[in-house]
Amino acid sequence: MKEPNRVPIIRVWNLLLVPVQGELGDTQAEDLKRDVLGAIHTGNVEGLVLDVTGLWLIDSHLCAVLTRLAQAASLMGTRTIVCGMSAEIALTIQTMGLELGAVQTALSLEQAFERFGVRAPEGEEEDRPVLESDLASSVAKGESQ
Amino acid sequence: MSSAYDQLLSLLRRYISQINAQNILARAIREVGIEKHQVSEAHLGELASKLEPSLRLFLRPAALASLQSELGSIGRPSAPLESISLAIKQEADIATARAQARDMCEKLGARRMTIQKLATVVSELARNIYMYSHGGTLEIHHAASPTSSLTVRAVDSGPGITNLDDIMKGNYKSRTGLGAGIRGTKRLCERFDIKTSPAGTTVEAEVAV
Ligand SMILES: Nc1ncnc2c1ncn2[C@@H]1O[C@H](COP(=O)(O)OP(=O)(O)OP(=O)(O)O)[C@@H](O)[C@H]1O
Ligand SMILES: [Mg+2]
Repeated sequence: MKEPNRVPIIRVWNLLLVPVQGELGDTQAEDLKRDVLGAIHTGNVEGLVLDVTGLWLIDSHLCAVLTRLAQAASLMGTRTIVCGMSAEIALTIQTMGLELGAVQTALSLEQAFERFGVRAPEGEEEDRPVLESDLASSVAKGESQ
Repeated sequence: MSSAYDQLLSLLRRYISQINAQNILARAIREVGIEKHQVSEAHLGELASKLEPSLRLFLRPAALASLQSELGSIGRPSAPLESISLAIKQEADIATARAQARDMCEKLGARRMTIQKLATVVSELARNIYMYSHGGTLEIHHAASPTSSLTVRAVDSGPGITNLDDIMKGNYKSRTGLGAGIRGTKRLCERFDIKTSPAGTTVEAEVAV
């Protein structure tokens, strides 16, 4: 049986999406690494997306956990992108001078998927309902493009 | 903070994601037979027991216990938190220390960036105590004057740090982590003092509010 607070690993076509959340202790970090590498080993995995939206704090230990996971995935031929980092976390990591190593980052989950070549379906732009967040971001961009 | 509902939600949010927190809380409130806006401190006990089964799905026992103890202290008239002292022995104590640091900041109305800095400093120092000594204590003090600031004091009686110079210069390669915890912590602080000897290590780190 699956332990209740094991981090889920979601397969989306040939990508693995891992919504990292909760308190990631040493045991959870080990489990996560084993589960992810196990999933990669079963084959047909082109990319790993670590979504950290659910984390409110990333310290150097957690950076090391994520970096090592990405390194191990890379040894198995799978590229990793971390997405969903809050501005506060990003600033803290930068101030501390922490190195995320070879791990790439993307702002949003959609951007992470796009980096792996997943595109929104044709017509998506016109057809889908306009979300409040879209309005907010176009205001923030000043609708320049 | 405005209401018992907000307090509950912000407490849950520190342990689980926003969306899960809202769903679980909405369900518990329904089960108690009240509406969101009616939630008051009188319902906390009943809500806590309705929340438990759902929380079990998301949290390890240690985290669940720490959440429950925090639930118990909601609504109790608390003196303005001037200081906190915590024993650091097990890994779960690190999460508790972080959560308490965040609480203290919120009570002081600190900015989000300040919360992030303080909680990160606490996390780094608590983890070092847990990993490299046989346990120690972590204190957080608030001083209102001359300027508002928070001081973290981490004390342990472990074997001490032998190569502090290299660590501070970034010339140290850690076997266990990035080896950037202490150096990075110093960069987050207004003031950072570390005293270490074979009898133990004491770190004092001050973050402006
Ligand atoms: N309280 C302590 N008692 C004894 N040794 C310590 C203590 N704190 C740190 N050390 C030693 O100093 C080294 C550097 O600590 P630092 O926190 O900077 O990096 P780290 O813990 O190795 O990695 P991380 O980047 O995950 O924090 C540790 O590897 C450890 O050997
Ligand atoms: Mg450390």
